[in-house]
Amino acid sequence: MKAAGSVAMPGVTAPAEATGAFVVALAGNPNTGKSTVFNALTGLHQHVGNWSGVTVGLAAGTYRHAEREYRVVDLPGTYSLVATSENEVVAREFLVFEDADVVVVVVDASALERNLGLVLQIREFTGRVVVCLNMMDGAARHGVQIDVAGLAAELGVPVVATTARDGLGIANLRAAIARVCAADDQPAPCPVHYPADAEEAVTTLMLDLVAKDPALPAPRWLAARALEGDAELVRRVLTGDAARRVEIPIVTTEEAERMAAATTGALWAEVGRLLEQTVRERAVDRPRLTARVDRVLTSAWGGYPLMFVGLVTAMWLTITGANYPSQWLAAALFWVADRGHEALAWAAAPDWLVGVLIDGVYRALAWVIAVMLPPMAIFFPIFTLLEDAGYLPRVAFNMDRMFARAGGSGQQALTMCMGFGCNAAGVTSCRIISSPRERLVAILTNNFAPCNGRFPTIILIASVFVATAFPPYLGAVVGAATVVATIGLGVVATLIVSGALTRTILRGEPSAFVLELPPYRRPKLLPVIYRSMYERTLRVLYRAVVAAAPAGLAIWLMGNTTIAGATPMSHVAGFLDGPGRLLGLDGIVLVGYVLAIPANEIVLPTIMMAYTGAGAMVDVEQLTGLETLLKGQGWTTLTAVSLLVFVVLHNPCSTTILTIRKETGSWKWAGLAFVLPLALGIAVLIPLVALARALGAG
Amino acid sequence: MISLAELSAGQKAEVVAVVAHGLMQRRLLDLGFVSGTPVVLELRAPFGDLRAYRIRDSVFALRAAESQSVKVRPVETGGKAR
Ligand SMILES: Nc1nc2c(ncn2[C@@H]2O[C@H](COP(=O)(O)OP(=O)(O)OP(=O)(O)O)[C@@H](O)[C@H]2O)c(=O)[nH]1
Ligand SMILES: [Mg+2]
Repeated sequence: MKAAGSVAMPGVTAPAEATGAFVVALAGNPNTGKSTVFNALTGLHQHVGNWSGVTVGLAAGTYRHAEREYRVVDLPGTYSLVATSENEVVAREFLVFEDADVVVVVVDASALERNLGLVLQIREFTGRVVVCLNMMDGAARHGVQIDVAGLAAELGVPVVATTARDGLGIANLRAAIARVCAADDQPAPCPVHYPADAEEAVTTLMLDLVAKDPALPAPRWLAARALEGDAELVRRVLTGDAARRVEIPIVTTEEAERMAAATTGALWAEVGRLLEQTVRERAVDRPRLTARVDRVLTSAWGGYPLMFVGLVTAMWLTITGANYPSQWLAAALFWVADRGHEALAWAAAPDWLVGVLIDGVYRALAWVIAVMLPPMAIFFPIFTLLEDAGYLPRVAFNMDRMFARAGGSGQQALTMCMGFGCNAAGVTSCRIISSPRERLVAILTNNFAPCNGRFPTIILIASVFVATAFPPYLGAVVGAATVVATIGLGVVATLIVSGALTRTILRGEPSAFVLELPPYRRPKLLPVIYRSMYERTLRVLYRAVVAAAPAGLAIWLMGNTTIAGATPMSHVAGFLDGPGRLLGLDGIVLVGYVLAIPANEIVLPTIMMAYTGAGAMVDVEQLTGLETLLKGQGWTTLTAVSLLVFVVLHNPCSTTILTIRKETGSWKWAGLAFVLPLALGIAVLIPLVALARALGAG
Repeated sequence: MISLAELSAGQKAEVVAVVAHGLMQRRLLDLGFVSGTPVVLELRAPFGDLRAYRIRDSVFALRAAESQSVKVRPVETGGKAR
């Protein structure tokens, strides 16, 4: 998710200028299908989801059409060109300063009225526009009838009807883009007429701007923004000494607010007129199914219980479903390891080489794949289905009360959900929070949402140590409940730490936020499976594999060389054993955590390898050997519980730390984000473990 | 004239004015909360003060502070809106 989303702004257009490709910007309200259109145009796989704020950075891709190259830039969704949050700033900056050859405004045809506001704003500003009337299927289902040609005539730009999710209309969209790009004469911006006194003020300033800088693009639009209080924007657009000569009147906050009310009032009045002209039939109520489902899923009696039951069910499916495939995979992969041993023995390879390759690197990889692949291949499609159906904003809606109490933004629940996927992506997604203070709170606490990389550890410990203590028919349910409880611990930690931060170092007034509740959409199965496999499962697996190979090597070396009469592993583990015991763990587990800083995915494999490599001669041929191995190392239920707590309450991985550094621009916050959860974990575990031991456990 | 926060479930109203300032005023205006716009209370969050309103083909949830800053006039139900 991160890679494409975090492309820096200059990088997006620079190559385009070099190659002479046309630059196509995809703008629009949040959740209208911009990324879906982007994917349809370029064949790439930008993340899409049924909630507002999926895309937070710029992503670029190219396609060829009639011998020409087009460079498409997917922008974050924005309700208007007057940005109020970081992701909207990204979109606005691109539209105003990057000078695209064409701006494709992606519009949700089933919510035309709201979408037309931004269309008109962009039309006020440029004429090089194509309107992509997307989600025509949804509009048709709700009985909305739009006069597409009439709309094009009214707006003065091409309007193309599409259903991007099914690839319908994309060829027409390409053709329309090509026509606008090839046209020499640039259609003029199309002004909205303001009430008399606003109109007069805007015109006066506009004439002054044009006099001082005749080449200025969209002077009327800029004048209106300046009078709404954003003089800074105009100064940045003006070139050379015009910037100095233009006199921008200083407006009071009150005047600016009055101007904003006047211009938006006029804009929406124009939207109303357009609708009357071009929409023959419109839906009065929400889609009935959405309204009904919402009444249940957000009700006082059902909201929380259903959220809980849903999560337990998802985890139960994951645990039960992953059990056998994991065992088969492990058996198959370790069978291959044995053949590798034989082959190397036959080739008379030296022992150390066999050790490094098979017992070190290969076994680490085999562990990672066998342990992680099956649960991810079940859990991620379920999660993606829920995301695509539109459930995440409802989670945020239900949980707002708690986040409000903690002084956080209502959007923090969404960024937390993204954190369940990957904390680095979760941290980036905090850009949708407009208040810098609340955004920082969300960034600093994102790590409490256990990510993809940590789920396998949680699931495995829950099913090996907790579930096995119960009869089989209960085991899976208890295991699932344990996983959910662990997630719950993460949520509680998020809320408590957010509350503590907003009452101490990040004090301030709660800021305004709006949360959009889109209609539920029927997810399309194939793209969901493809996306959850490609985007989530394989990416996590890749990260794990890349980190596991060197870690496997390191562990093998640490366990099979000698310094001062003992292996480095026993030195280090011995050194860390004291602190480890205090936390209910042991030295090896801490070694595992240190080695896993680059990727949390490899914690458990690293620990297993360290146990086996450090002299314990248990041969873990199959997953069932796991419990025996761990118990042989002195693990008890207390160790398992402590590990579950530590999985949630410990430092973020290095990728997340670097992302926090980038998003906050400061090592101070990144450092705090590292220390805070770790300190909390230690502070919780030491008394907990001491108490448990005093009561006679482990 | 009452504020959005005082609407009861399913009650329809028409926006009269937004009395918020700064970014919140801007955001509400951009979402289409301008004078004369029909708005309906769709949902209340369990427990908290978050309320979801249907406006201009979309549903947005606002907290109490924001809901209170939108002044509305309740309209009689019956017949199609616009
Ligand atoms: N029914 C239908 N759904 C669509 C269509 N196009 C996109 N979607 C769905 O709409 C949702 C939003 O799509 P995205 O492409 O993520 O929207 P976006 O505009 O990039 O959203 P942000 O990045 O949040 O601004 C997803 O669930 C898509 O599957 C369409 O033509 N018809
Ligand atoms: Mg997007």
